[in-house]
Formats: sequence, C-alpha cells, structure tokens
Amino acid sequence: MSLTTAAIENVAPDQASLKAASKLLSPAKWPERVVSADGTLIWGACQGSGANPYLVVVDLRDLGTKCSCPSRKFPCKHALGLMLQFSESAGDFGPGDVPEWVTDWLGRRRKTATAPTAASGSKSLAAAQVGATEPPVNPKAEARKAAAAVKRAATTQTAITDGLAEMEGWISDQLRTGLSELLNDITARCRRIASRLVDAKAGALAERIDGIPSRVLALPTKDRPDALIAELGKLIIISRAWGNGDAPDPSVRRVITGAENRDVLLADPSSLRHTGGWEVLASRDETRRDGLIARSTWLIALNGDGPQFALLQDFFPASMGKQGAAFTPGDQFQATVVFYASRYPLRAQIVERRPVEQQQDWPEIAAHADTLGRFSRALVDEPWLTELPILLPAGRLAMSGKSLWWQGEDTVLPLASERIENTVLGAELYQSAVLWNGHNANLLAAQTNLGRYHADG
Amino acid sequence: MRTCWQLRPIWGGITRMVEATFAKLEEAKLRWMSGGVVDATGNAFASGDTGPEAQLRLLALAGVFRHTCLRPQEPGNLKQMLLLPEPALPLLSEVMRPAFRQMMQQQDRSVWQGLIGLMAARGYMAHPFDWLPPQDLTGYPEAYIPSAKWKAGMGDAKPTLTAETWDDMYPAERRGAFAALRKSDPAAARTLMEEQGGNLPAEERLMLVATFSNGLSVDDQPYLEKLARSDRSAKVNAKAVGYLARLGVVTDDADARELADFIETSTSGLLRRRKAIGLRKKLNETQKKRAYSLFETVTLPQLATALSMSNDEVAASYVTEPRPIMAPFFDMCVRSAPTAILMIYWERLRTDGVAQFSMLADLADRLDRDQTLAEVKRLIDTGRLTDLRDMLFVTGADVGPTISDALLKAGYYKKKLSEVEAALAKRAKGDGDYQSTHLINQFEAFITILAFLVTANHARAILADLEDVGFHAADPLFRPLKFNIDLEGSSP
Repeated sequence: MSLTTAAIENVAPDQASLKAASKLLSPAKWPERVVSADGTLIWGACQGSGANPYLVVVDLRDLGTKCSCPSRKFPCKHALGLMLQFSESAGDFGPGDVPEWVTDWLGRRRKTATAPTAASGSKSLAAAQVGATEPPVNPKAEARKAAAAVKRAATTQTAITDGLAEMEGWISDQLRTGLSELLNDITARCRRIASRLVDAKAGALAERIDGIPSRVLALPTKDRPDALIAELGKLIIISRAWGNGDAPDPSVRRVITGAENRDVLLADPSSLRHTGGWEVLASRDETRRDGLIARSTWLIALNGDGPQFALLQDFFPASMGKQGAAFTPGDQFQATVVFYASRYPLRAQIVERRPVEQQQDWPEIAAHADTLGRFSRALVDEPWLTELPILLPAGRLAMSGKSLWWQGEDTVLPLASERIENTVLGAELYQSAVLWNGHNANLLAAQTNLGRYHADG
Repeated sequence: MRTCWQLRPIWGGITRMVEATFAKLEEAKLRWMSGGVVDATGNAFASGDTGPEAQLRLLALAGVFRHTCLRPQEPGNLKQMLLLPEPALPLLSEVMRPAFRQMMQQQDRSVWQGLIGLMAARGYMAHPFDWLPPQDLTGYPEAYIPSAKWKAGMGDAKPTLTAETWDDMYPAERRGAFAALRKSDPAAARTLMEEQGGNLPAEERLMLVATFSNGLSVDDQPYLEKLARSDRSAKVNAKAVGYLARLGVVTDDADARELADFIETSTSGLLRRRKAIGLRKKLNETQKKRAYSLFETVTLPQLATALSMSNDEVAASYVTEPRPIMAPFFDMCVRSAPTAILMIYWERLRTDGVAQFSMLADLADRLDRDQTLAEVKRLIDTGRLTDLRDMLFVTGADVGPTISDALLKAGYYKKKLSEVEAALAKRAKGDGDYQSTHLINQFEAFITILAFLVTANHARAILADLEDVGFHAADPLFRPLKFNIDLEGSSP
C-alpha cells in the first residue's frame, strides 16, 4: 500500500509537527521498522529521550496512528516520521508478524475510533525540511551561553549545599523529638522537607524523601523503626558525600539532582558499555508524588563479564494514563547497553538492540554463595543505595504463618508477597532474581522446574 | 510477623567489635524512637564529636549497619507446600502461553471451559503458572484433578474408590471414579452409595445418583424407593422417582389425576386428523401455575395411567408448541420417561422445528457421543442453532470435521457474517452507531466460541471469511482462531 507526501501533510496536525517529524528521519533513531505481510500496517520503535523507545504504529488504510509517546498532538511527530520514511523508502521496512501490542490497538480502535479527519491549515513538508536546517553558530552567543551555564551551576551548587544542611538540621530535630512522632506524621513531615529540597534544586533527593513513607509503611509495624533509621542514615551519607558540591561522585549528584539526559550519557566516551545478550526480568510502574509515573525495567545479562543487571528508567505524566511497555518480561535480545557513571553500574540506556537467534539461560551462580553479600559489597561502594537486584541460587518459597519467604540451602529471605501467585509455592526454583532492599525481597522472575516464571506475567 | 535478624560472622577477628556496635545501635534505636540524645562517647565512628554531629554520624552508621552485618534469621515455623503435580498432559508451549493468558482474562466461564476443553482435546494442558482449575471441576477435563487437589492442599495419591478411601478423595475425583464404577459394576457402586452417600451434601448426592442412569435396572429399585421415600433433598427424591418410573414402577398418584384434569384432547392436521393432547386452552393463570408445578413431580407413566393412555401414545400426541407450552412436559419426560419414549417426543420436537440445543443437553446422558453429535448435526441442518454457548455445553470443544462443516454452512453463520460486514462498512464510512458497535462486539464473542468448536482447517476457513468481510488479519478477533490453528501444530 503506497503512501504519498500529500496524504501525510494532510493528516499532520500543524506545520510544527511536520518539522519535528522531519528531524526523525535518520534510520539510527529507528531500531525497528516493520511492515505487515499484507502491507496495510507499519510499525516501529523510535528512540526518544527516554530509556524505552516509543512504539509507533500506522494503519495505512486510513492513516490511523498510535504512539506510546506523551505528545498530545495527533498524529504525533513519531507517527508522522514513520509515515515519511515509509513514503520515501518503503524498502527499508522489513516484513514481520504483527506484535501483540499492535493487535490490541486494532481491537480497541475497532470499538472506539472513527476514521481520522484531515487537519485544517496549510502544511508543507518541503517548508518543514527547509526550516529544519540548523542556523549558523554565533561564537559570541555561544560564549555568553556557556558563561550563563557556569553561573547557573554555581548557584545550583550553593542552593543544594544549603538545602542539604537544612535537611541535616531537620533530621537532628527528628532524632531529638523522637522517631515515633515522625512515624505518626511521616507523610506530612517528609513532604515539608522534600518541598524545601525542591526549592534547593535537589529534585531527585526530594523525590526519594517523598518515597520514604510508602517504603517504610509497607513493612510490618515492628520493622518500621529499623527501616526509618536506615533511610535517614543514608540521607546523612548522601549529604556528607556531596560536601560543598565541588567534586561530588557522579552517582551522588544523580541521587540529588537527577540523571543526565540520554544524549549527554551517550556522548561521554568514558561511559561503560556492555554488549551481549539481555533478558527482561520485569517492568514496573510506580506513581510518584509529583504526578509522574516512574517505569523501571530490569534486565539480566545473559553472558559476558560486564554488569550482571541493568535498570532502564523512564518517567511520564500519570495524566496520560496507562502506557504500553516497550519490553515484555521474558523478552531476550542482543544489545549494547551504556551505563551511567557509577562505582556500581546499574542504571543504563540501550544504544542498540537486535533480536536474538536462540534463547539463552541465565548465568549460573554458586550454590553456597552469601546471597546478600553482593548487596553488602555494593553498599561499601555506594552506601546510599536503597535496593539492588540479586540472583539467588536454588531454593523454594515457603510460608511462615501468613508471611512468605524464600528458602535456600543455608539462607532465608523474607519476601514482599503482593505480586506472587500461589502456584510458585509449588515449584522448585533453580534460580530467582529478586530486588533486595535490606528488609525484604521482591521476586522479579525465576527459573523453575516448570519453566520461566515472571512475577509480572 | 517481625523479621528477626542475626549477626553474620563475616569478619572473623572483629566479630566482637561488630557485636558491640550492634548492641550500641539497638540501644540508640530505643533512645531515638522516644527522642533524645544517645551517648556516643567511645564510639569510633562518632570520632569524639559530641552533640548533633555525633548523633548524625551514629545515625549514618546505623543506616548501613543492618544491611551489611546482619542477615535475616529463619523463623521456626517455615513450611513448604507440596510440589505441583506432574502434568497429566504436555503443557502448552511457551510461545502460545501469552495468547492463552490473554483469552483467559475474559470473565466468562464458557470461554474458560471452551479453551481448556479445546486444549485437552488436542492433548495439552494449561501451564499451572497461567491457570489452575476452580474447586468445582464441573465442565473441566479430569486431567486437572491433580492440580485441583494440590490447590486444596491434598496429596497427589490416586486411591481406588472404596469405602475406606471414600472420604480421602477429592470430590471431582470421587465423582469420576464413581461414574466409572457404576459403568463397570453397577451393583458395587450402588452398595457404596448406600453406605457412604448419606454423609454427602445434597448437590453432591444428586450428581452421584444421576450416574445411576448407566446400567439402570430393577436391582436398583429398593434403593431408589428408599431415596424417593426418605432422602432429605427434594431434588434427590424427584430424581429417584424419575428413575423408578423409567423402570416401569407406576404408582397411583392423586397429583397425576389432578394434572390429567388440566389436559384436554383435540385433533390436529387438515388432511390427516390426529389426536393431540395438551393443557386446556382456558386455564387461568393460577391453574397454569399449578399444572406446571405438577409436571415437576408427576412421572410420565403416572400421567399416562391417569389419562388411560400408553406412554407411547402420550409422547406421540402431546402438543409441540414452543416454550412454555411444551417445556414442562419435555422436562417431565427427561426425568421419568424410558429413553425410547423420550426420543419419540424429541423426534417430534425436532421435526416441528422447536427443538433447541439447551434441550439436547438434557438428553445427553441418555445418548452416546455419536448419537449426540448426530442430533447436533440435525439441529444445525434444520436451522435450530441460535446460541453457540448452548452447543458448546452439549458437545464440548473440538467437534470434528463433520459438525464443523455443518457449522460453516449453517444459515446462522452466514447471517452473522453478513450482519457484521454491513456494520463494518458502516463504520468505515464514519457513521458507525451504537448498534453496529454492539453487533461487532457480539460477533467477537460468537467467533471466540466458534473457534473452540471447529477443527484447525475450519478455523483457517473462518479466518479467510473474516478477512473477506473487512477485518484486518491482525485483529484480536482472530486470536482464538489462530490459537486453534497453532494448537494443531504445537510442540510442547
């Protein structure tokens, strides 16, 4: 089925969308571009600024589109970009089976959508592509921008240092007036100091403090004092690791201000890169206080001597509703993964991904290893860590009253049980991947005598 | 339950120092919880500072101490469940499991039973991580009994049904074993029922008595008379009375005479006048209700006696007007007429075009599989297919090529296709309304059940038909059909 430029211009919502789409025509931004066997559907993955690529599909019969990006324009620039590429070089689109997420979209669309109508206004792809040319560089303006950036950085550094001092004072006050009192009013009190840290440009740390109530209150009552002390103690360590902010560890900076963006990470030649096979263990969404949904996708390395796990993190507004996940638990692929600078590399971005030819098993681990030793050693490097994926050796799940445990040959771990189905209690677990937070383990996936188990389905 | 922690002696010689730190931090925790200053004197980490600084340093130490030096302690009462039983059939292949989970998300027992039935018919079981059977296994294959027993916390032993093992068996398992025993040795089954049946719940008792249909003989008469006379459940009483009637035990009954008074004789047919009996036309509502309730307890032989007719004559002349006129009489025949007599009336219902799949379900335990399928085909061929769920209930999944052919040639199927084609065309023009959306949704449910009934080849033919009427090949509507096709070539 052919697609003309005129038809794309016709459905584009405005000239700006066409212009933005024309910047997405580089094949490097599209790790996947596929056309269905009957030629009526095209879909692909467009690497945006987040860790997960946006999933885009276009129904060529009526140019209906769907994209997992947060844009409120319809069709968005990614859908227009996919259409433009197909109109210019359909041969670059490989054939493929229609994936489940496209099938689901077709089903929803059949029930609710009507054919899209042409957007009003005059739009031209030619004009968009002319406009896409970068303006010439002005050295004076660049110098001014650089000076302003330095000044901004200094102001931010001072604000953060002051904010952390205030946080330490707040913690001292909590110790003096009693942590029992803090536990009784934990949400409001954490919110107050978190707000102050937002003002001090320590947004990521503020978000961490905002999350303390839910992390602590999720535990049994008697475990909460220990958990609260651990949370506050680690805040002190973060503050001291920052010092006056002159030369903070990159991961400390990330814990306080947030991660650098994807382009900066990829441009840094010193970033650790690891190429090999990966499997998706789990993909979980958590709604944050600031109205964003944090999506964490956990990967396990299937081979090589690089990091054993990788964490992809993305954020999108909760107001957008449920967004389709780019990864499904159990998916395996070959990828080059680049890690954010850290003494304990974990958070990462995927640079390039391609399908695997054969499914692989997880790497083997020793049966009698100190299962939590990995977490202990990680804390020596980065004592502010709150949780870490761990691979457990052979074991079973077991009950103690109503609480659930993982039981190995010489180790036991309490489990957070809300996602675990009873059937796993009847399986032999050859290996299990869990998120350990120092208090309990959250089962992500396991290899069992009945095959692979994924807690997220 | 609180998690208990123990020191892990990972640092050999400095264990004593770690123990001392642990004790100090536990003390500090108590102080901090109530509020106040912990004595940090002599603590190496506090490095001689006093005041808030010493407290914060100690807190920082406490923040990582537990996670590095302590390990969870095993609770005393840790208990592992039994391992899941070995599957009785090969498990569904990994590649098909996502589609299975997707379809099982529909909260519809017919869909669950159809899908599970189709898989079992093709020799596969659901993966236990995806689905375990409900406690009541009615409508599900026996291959799931071990899983149901595991779910109920019972072991995987497969005892033979005896008086000793009666209480140890899972209800569905006992039901299956009892039905098999009744087929192979009716007398032994009856004896077992006499000894053990009284302790069962009424519903369970009724299901076991229902198996007496197999090998029903005069040897059962004393036990059935006892049930008819003294069982606590009215449904069991009625079932026993029905079986007695089928054995030809006719008792004089005042109710039958009362019912006969509500029945009149007339003639029907223009050229060949024939005798017809039915409820009197001029009954008022109260009388109709009374007549209907009498049909629930009176047996066909009793009614025939009260009407001074033979069983055959009554079955051959009772009216066949559609529901509700014929329904109470049909139900009475199902309950109490010998099979040959019941089939006389059923034949007339089918010939007169009023027989339905829901009624055929009531006949099913009197017919073998081939006879049932033959009746199913006749109903389809005579345009009596109006609800695939009723048919699925009668036949189970995977009905084979002959019935699949009949289904795809049926006017019902063709009509559904043309209706949905019109609705899709309407939507494509942009004037789809609520009715067309509703129709398409209903069609989706229809195709789902159809996919569980037909062979893989017929599923392919349906796929082609759906593409012809305008569905995209990737539409989720195709999922159950593709599942059916994939199941044919699936290797576990």
